[in-house]
Amino acid sequence: MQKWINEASWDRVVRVVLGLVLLVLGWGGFVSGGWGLALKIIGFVPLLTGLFGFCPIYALLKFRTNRA
Amino acid sequence: MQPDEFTQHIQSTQTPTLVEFWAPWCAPCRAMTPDLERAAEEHRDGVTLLRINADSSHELLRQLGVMGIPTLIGYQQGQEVFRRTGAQNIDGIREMFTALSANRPLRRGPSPADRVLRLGAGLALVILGLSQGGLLLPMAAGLLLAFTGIYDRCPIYQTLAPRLKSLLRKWFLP
Repeated sequence: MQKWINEASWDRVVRVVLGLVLLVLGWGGFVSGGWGLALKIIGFVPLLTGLFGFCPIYALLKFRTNRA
Repeated sequence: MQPDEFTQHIQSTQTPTLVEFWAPWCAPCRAMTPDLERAAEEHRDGVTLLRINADSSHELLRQLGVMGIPTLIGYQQGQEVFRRTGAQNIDGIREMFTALSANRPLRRGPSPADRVLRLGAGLALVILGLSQGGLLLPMAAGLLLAFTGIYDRCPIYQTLAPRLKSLLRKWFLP
């Protein structure tokens, strides 16, 4: 396992699902206006951090949900 | 070790060699040593482990472009076949020895779970883009994500990546 990964499997799956839900809400037109635009962008954050297993905020706080 | 001594050693040996650059003050090197020695023992007939103290081999490090330690370089018939910098776990080390002894390329791509996650999320984004009348951004992002799940299996990537890496090394290293 690469050393920079700081998320456990469950954490990653939750992030990917959350990211996809936000993106579907934004890009799918379920939420419109400013919130819709925000969701279109913000959804990528949990999606990408989940897919790559690295959370910069965890790293800043020296926290991790997986085993070192 | 001097560069010409190293080159002579690497060129003259028929056995694949795994070279480790380490230093006594390097904590990751020390942490990796038991695993490295264990894997070397497991493959003692097929692969030679050559450990070089970086502190006394500055010129060699400069010539090989080694920018950090620990660095592990695999040599097959005198040619460098892979290079990894940073501490490796026992599985990664064993994979290096196995690749060298079997004379096959070292692959280190995403884990199967990562592949499924990336391909699934990428596909979901592509479907989302298509369902909304062909939205470019979700579709492009989806394709890119899906590609990160299989990039190491892509023949075009495999062909271009080493050339790109060698070009970058040439441009950015003295």
